Amino acid sequence: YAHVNNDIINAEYSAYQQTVSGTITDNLGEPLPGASIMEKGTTNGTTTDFDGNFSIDVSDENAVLVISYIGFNTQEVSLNGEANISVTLLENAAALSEVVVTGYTSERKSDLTGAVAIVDMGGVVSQPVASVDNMLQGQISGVNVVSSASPGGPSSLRIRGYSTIRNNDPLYVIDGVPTTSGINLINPNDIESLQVLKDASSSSIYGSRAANGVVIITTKKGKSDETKVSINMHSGIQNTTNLPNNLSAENYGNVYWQGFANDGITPAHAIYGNGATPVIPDFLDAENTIPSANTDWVGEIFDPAIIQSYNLSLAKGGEKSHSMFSLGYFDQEGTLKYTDFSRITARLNSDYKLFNDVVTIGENLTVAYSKSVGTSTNSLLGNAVYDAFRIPSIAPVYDINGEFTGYPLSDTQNPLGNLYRNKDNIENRVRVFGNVFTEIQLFEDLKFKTNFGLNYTTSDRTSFSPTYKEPNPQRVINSLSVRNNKQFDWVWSNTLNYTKTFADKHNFSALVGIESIENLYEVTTASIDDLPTNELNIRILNAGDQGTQTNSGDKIEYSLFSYFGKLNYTYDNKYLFSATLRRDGTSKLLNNRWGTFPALSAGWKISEENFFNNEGVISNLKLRAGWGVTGNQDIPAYQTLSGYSSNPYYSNYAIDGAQNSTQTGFTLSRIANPDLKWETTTQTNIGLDFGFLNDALTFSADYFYKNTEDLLLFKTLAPDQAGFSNSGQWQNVGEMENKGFEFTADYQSDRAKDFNFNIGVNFSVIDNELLSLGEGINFIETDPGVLNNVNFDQSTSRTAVGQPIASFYGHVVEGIFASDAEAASSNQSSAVAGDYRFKDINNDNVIDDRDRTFIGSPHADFTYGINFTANYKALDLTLFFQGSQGNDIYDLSRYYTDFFNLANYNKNDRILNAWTPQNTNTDLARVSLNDPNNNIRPSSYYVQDGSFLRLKTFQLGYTLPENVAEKIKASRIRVYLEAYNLFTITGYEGLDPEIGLQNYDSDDRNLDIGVDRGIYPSSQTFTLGLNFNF
Amino acid sequence: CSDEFLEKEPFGELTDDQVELPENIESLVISAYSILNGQGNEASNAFNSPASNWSFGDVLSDDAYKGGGGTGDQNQIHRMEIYNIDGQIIDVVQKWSVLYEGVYRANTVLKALKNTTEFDEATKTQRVAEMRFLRGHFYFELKKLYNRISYTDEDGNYLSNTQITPEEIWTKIEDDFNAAIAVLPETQADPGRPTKYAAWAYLSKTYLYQGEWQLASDAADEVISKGGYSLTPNFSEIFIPENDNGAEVVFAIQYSINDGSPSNYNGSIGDRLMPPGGPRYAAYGFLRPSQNLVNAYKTDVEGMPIIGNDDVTETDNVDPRLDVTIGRPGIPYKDLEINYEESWARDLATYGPYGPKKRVISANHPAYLQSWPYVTAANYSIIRYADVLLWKAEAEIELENLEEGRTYINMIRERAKTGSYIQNLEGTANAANYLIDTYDDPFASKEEATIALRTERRLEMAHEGHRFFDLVRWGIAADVINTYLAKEQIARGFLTGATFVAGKHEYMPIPQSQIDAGGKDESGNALTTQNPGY
Repeated sequence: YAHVNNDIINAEYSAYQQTVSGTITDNLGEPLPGASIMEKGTTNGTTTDFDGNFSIDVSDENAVLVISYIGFNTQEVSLNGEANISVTLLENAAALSEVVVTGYTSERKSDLTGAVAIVDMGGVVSQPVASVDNMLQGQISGVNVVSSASPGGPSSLRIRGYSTIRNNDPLYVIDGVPTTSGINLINPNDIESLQVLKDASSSSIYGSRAANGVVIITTKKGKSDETKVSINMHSGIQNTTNLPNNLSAENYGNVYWQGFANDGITPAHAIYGNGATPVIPDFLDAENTIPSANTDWVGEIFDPAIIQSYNLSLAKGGEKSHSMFSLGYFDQEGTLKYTDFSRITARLNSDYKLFNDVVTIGENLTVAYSKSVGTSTNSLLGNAVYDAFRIPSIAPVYDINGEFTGYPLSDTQNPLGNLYRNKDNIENRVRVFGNVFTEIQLFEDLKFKTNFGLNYTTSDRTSFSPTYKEPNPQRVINSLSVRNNKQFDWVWSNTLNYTKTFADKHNFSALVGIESIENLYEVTTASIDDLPTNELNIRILNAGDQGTQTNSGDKIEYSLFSYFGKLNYTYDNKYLFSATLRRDGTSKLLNNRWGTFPALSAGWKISEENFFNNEGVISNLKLRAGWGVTGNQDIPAYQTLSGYSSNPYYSNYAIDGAQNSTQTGFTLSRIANPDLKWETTTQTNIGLDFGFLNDALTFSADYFYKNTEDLLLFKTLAPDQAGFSNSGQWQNVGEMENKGFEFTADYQSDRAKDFNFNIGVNFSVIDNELLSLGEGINFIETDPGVLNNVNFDQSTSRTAVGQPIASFYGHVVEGIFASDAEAASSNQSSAVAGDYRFKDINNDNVIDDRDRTFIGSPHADFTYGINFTANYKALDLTLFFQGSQGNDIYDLSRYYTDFFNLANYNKNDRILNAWTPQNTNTDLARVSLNDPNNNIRPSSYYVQDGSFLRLKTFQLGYTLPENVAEKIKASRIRVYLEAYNLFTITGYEGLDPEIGLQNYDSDDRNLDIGVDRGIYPSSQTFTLGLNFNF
Repeated sequence: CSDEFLEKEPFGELTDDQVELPENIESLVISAYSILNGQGNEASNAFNSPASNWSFGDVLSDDAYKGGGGTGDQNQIHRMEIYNIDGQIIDVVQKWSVLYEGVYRANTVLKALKNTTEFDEATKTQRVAEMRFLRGHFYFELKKLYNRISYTDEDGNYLSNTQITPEEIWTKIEDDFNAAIAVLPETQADPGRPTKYAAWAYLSKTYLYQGEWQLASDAADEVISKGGYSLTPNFSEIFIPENDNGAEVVFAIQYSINDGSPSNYNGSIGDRLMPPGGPRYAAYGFLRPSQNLVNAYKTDVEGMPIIGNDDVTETDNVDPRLDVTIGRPGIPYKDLEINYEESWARDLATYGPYGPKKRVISANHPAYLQSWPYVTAANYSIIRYADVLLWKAEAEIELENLEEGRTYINMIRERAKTGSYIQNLEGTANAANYLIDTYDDPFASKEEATIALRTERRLEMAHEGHRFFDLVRWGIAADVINTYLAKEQIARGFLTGATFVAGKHEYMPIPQSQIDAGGKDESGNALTTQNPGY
């Protein structure tokens, strides 16, 4: 809705020549410097200055001005005698001329030959989450975000599947500084643009760490001569939906008695009595302090919670300098009580042109502070969500004295008490992140740039475990532990960039560079027990019993050094070629320290050919193809070096018989492998871009094939040779394959109309398969030490040759025996009617561990996102749907909630539908305490369909009339209402079908994806937002 | 210059060269002792590889149930308990791996000692002997649990379980103990290091397991006549922390708590699931005494064991060791001035009312860690003197020297008889009808003597991780356990369907991961093969 603003008129009139002046801005009111203004039908023209202002002498008072700017629709304006006009240009729908930052340089989007996704930050930044990576879920084809919904919680991007077994996280490059962690300390509001380099031809320039894709983030800088102020804020309320129903106090007793009956046990229960039917007593204990109740434990631990975000930015630019200053505050209380994340960020970006613009010096710096109280979820131990599933409803939250209490017969802590006791265990983090750079125009076509970036992150966490008694779980001695860690990374890169156009048709650009990176991590911990009180003020290490003090620490360092080059050539804007080569050395490797990573790509803009009819329906057609190799060296440091270290967990010993001291022992640190080499991923990408109807409708389709060789894998060695403390060795074994298809479509209706809309669709299919694990090894599983704490020792998943990573593995439930006779004639000697019939996979007439097989996959058949935005006059609407189809979830929470083997824990209401002779149409075996058939074993019963479709974002906005805005000197005021996760359509019965990882740092993190052990569920959030521009 | 930039050495580690310095070899020695407790990583699951063998030695026998929160709690140990065992059970895998870690660490020291030139010769010889003792222990444990095991010496020579026979393994173990005997001193300043007599005792055990009765008896004689050991006067005081390295201890794992280590893993970490519940203990409630074991303590009017295994009633006479070994409702528990109650028992309906007691120490004692992981600093005796006396008795009975056997059995019974008995809460009387006496008449037959000996071993050594291995070496495991299962499952339904298969369940399966990763011979056959029946 371009318009000519008649309000500001300077009406001095001259008959034959008139000077017309004005301002050209974009739809956000940002000035457009360098826009072209031509008097129609003449060669008279000018361009806007840095503030979007222009002045032109026209020959006719009714002249028509043609205003154009790269990336925007060209507009014609009739002067009709006006001497001063302001024009708002509208962005070109496809924005093909948009400049995107790729590796160390930038290029026009229309010239891209690789698979690069560009995220419209404006469309995602209002989401009520802390971290930009969380905002990307569903937005980009081929990119999946696995995240914890806890406040400020971690997340992990998966770009085009799983190229390796261990760390699949992408490399983030923020203003030229690579980083892999702490993305939640970057304020999303500071981000100008975000690109994802998905294929090897685009990412290979970052060779060393690009195998999982690269996310390039560029932060904002000032543009206008005037100081532009913008304020963005939103706040709202989050709520947890879809809570499970657990057995009431009465039903729990009834099902318990059903179990006694099924097992032929005379009922005897310390709380429900010894009678023919269970009896709910008045009190659960002999002292009459714990009254019986009917507590909805899951309801108790969740509460609606506030989320708020406030951002202020001041930006100013000019021909010689730009600066941008911002402040942000974000606070997300958790819906899980007593959890919280808050963050303050400040950013200062500036640059200065010196010596006739030959030298540019600049910096981008952000300082962030966050404070959080977290809790572990998706785990057996210490998980309040899971504890709320497990603690029987008959237990009250508080005893008669108002203290937290619990169930006398089980070890489950009162989950609310657990959260409460954790509420002051705050983790503080400070991150200083930024870069300084100097760019020198050596010659007309040759630029030198040096860039030094650093990341300094410290975090400290004080954990206090107070004494409590409730009544069975208890702590009689309080304990305080403190953990400090520090990460210091720096990167220094130097590049030479040459750009030249010959004969108007040959565009060359070349880049060469070197880069060094050093990374240091240090951690110190200490603890002490037996502090005199549980009060907050006493919680320092000096206050405890000195005899119980402990300390430990570690320090790790690694470095990278790289050479790289890139060559781009475009002929006649039709044929595009690009080649990159990078050579990296890493301190993590020894005998094969250096890796070489080449990439080639080409594009053909078919629509630029003469034979192509540009006036037709198809306005743009481009074919892209790329091939490249990327590397991965992300293993723990020092794996090529042998050494001996002390480990207070397993190398010390009280040889002198002392009961409170040990001698320090040293034991082998690792089984070194000096021959380790780079893991390499070779990726081929073919893409086709279509534009129709002057690019109002665009399609893009990509097919990729990725093959990872020399997989870096911690390979378990024969224990009789390797022992236990070092159970294996890092080796280059195995091969992984990912292939997939990505499709995006976008339609933009005519923006000049009062009603206009945009619809964007993305769709991805990714097929992952582990091709090999080296000779003799067919599968790997999660480390047993991990299984114990998080999985009740249940092995749910197997990463096996010929299967996708982390496929579910177990017995197949074929049905339920209808009669004892049927059970007796089976291969399951202990089974009776109501027990599971397990499939005899190997047909040996025995049901044992050999009858386990692959029973499901956590990977989706396809994932998709649908983005719909519409504008009508001052109103705007955004709908964003996200979905996943065909993925399974291993609902391990059913281990406790669906079987009575663990009798003193509450059950899900599902168990009311357990098999009985009268209720045979069910998939849940009979209730049994003894479970001689071991119905509880890992099986297909636990595997559930995890498909879902979610309305992730619903946003309705209203831009106030300009005359209202002007009253407070604002150029624009917009108010919006957003509903996040408004509804989810799924058959999954758990809290949330989007299952995050168990642990975002573990080496094993990808070996048990899609396993639900009681997760922190996504919230349904309603926010009210305000945007002010001054 | 870039390569120099890429040279990063680990912090806080000794290099291969530094390790061969004498003071650093001593720290390798410490780490070899350290793995005795079964804790080899940073996970808190050493209960899968407990040094005390409570799961393998007690739960698999007729002495105990797994316990815990139900059959789904540590379900893999439940599967072991009902003899549904395979080579992927984490306990089977982890125990194997931890024991080979012990072998590995001992061999590492032995190899370093071979290479070093700076070590003083006398100490070096001592350390070699200590490491051979430890290696002997680790191989003994492996042999006893898995039978067909592999062997690696300090030079890295490796023989898989298809390349060395179980009999040859015995010889290797004997060699280690003999080498230790030749060098080790009669006493050690550090009680954690084995003495000459600890090595003699272990050699006696090695012979005993092979049925080499005369050699076993002779070796036991060395311990009895020269070792200077004696029985602790009160049976109930053998297991208190004050007697950690007392006169009865031949070789013990040295536990320590509150010693500055981050999670107190230097305590009795493999036994951390043993606290029985109740007002003063964490309610893990594992290792639950079987009804059958309780019944075994019933005595007749003369204080002699009754073989029939009828349920004990309140008025029955019982061996006083019963209430030291087992938590029984209505009997005072330790010095806590409260009775053990049925309500302490976690999952009473499944696992019955009894709780472990013998190796649980008083919650009042500073050697009990009252916070997670609830471990103790009370040592676990790998060999105590009473054990040696019973080996001696057994060897003599097998050699038809029945009277000699009776003498040693009576030494054990005499101590149980003359020591102090558990008193009721008021301290006014014995807590139960304790009655025990010695065998005053010569055994009528070798058979009778054998029954007496085997009964005595069960009563004296219960819940110390030995019972299952005794049943196996006596060749009666299938009989005893199947008889036990048939009766016990009436009250304890989770045992329904469990059967001990003779010729299979005497030994654990070889871990599947060992077979998979253990390599192949030239003709492509796996170098490590599975035990019979699995």
